[in-house]
Amino acid sequence: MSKIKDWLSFKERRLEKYEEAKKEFCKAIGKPVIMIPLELPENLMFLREDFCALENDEEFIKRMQRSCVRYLKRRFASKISEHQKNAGRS
Amino acid sequence: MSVAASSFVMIYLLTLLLVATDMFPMSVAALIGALFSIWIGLSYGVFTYNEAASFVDMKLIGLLVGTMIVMEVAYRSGLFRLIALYTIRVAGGDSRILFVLLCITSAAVSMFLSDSTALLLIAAAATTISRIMDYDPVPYFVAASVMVNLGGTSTLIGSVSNMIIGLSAGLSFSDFVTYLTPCELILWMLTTATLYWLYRPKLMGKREVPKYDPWEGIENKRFLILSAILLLIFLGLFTLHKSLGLPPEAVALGCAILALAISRVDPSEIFRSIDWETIFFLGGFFFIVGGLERAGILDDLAREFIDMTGGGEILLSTTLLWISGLASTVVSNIAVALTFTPVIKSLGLKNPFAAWSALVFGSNLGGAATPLSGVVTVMALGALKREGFKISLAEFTKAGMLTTFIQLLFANLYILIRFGLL
Repeated sequence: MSKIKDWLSFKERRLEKYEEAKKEFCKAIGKPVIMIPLELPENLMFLREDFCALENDEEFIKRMQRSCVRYLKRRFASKISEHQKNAGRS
Repeated sequence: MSVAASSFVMIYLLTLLLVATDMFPMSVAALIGALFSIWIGLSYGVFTYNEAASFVDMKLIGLLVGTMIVMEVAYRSGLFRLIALYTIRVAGGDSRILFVLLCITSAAVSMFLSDSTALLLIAAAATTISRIMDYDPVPYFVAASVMVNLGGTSTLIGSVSNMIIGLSAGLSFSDFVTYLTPCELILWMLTTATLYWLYRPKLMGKREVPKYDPWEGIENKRFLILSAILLLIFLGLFTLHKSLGLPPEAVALGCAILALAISRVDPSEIFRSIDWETIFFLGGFFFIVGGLERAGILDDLAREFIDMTGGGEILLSTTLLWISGLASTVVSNIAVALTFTPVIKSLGLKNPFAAWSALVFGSNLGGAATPLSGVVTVMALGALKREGFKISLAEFTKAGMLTTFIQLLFANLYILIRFGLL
């Protein structure tokens, strides 16, 4: 039985190529998603568990999303205005 | 039957059983079988150590490894992904058009890529677009596995069993095109139509597809263009290899070296991507079949074939097609091709092309009949499971069996007409 389990997990490993290809397709067609490592500051180590729970905290994700939009708008203001001009023309 | 001969038959059957039941990885099962075959052969003096060493066809291994390297480089360049992205864009969000186009793309891509790589690529494309458009991915997955299996039948390099048959029979790349391509094209249409008919109720209407540029996802366009050029050279040389006096394995290995030179990818990464499991399975099975051949079992089988069919070519080709077709629904098509190749040689046919074509069709077409018939169907089910979708084995078998039956029936008719047997 354990041999069968080993063999099935061996076949699962062969699906790694599938995951890689899926990521590439998502990048091309779907909405791009980035994953960034966030570290808990040394002085807040006592909040370790609360920090880890942020991964699934919807409020936190929304705030990060808004912060990301603000940053992109500030950082790439000229690109955005150029895009809006072109969109207006077409 | 002598003790040695019956031992070889037992080893052969046990190996097939181990492979079919997935008790061991297929490479390990074949290597265990090889070990026992060599032991029996040497103990009973059926062959010497040096004779056993010559069982492995290094030309075939060269052709296989060379082709795998060229295709891996082309795959990494994003060429096949670009084709899949254009296919999705051309469908314009219409799930029915997308279904038909993905069927054709699956078969076309599988003419070059290994079946497993082609399936994973198309499955990834199908999952992505299904998630975005909220389509049911099951019809696309089933269709992709059936069509990938079919597409591999088309060329000398499309599947390992084709390489085995092609090298043994001395069939060139252009012979495959001449004898098999007309039938293949009709089979593509017939199978696509059957799958469409089966899955039409599950295919939803049209939805707006997000705008995207297929070229945007390509990191290194120069590498992609070079890979495309190399692939054209590879196909050109394969088409002309007989007139140029170049053996196919030399073309494959030569192009593999060029591919490694242009890819700028760490070669060890490319080598890791080679399907070593298939190569070791093939290596092991050479010894098992070698034992059967030396013990005279395959000659006996050839005589049985002639007795059974009365030596008539119509019955012989038909029997060969259906037996190899049914066998490949249960056991690996590589094992089927390796077993029947020496049998056809022993038949001593004046015009063996009908028999070779029957074996090509038979050994390939059975590979997607049931969920466990081949690596393609197992992978499609694995990917579907990973995505959280379920498909009953009965539903998969219904589609697989129906399309396999239609394909074998049409291939039979084609062989009888094409080779003037009627």
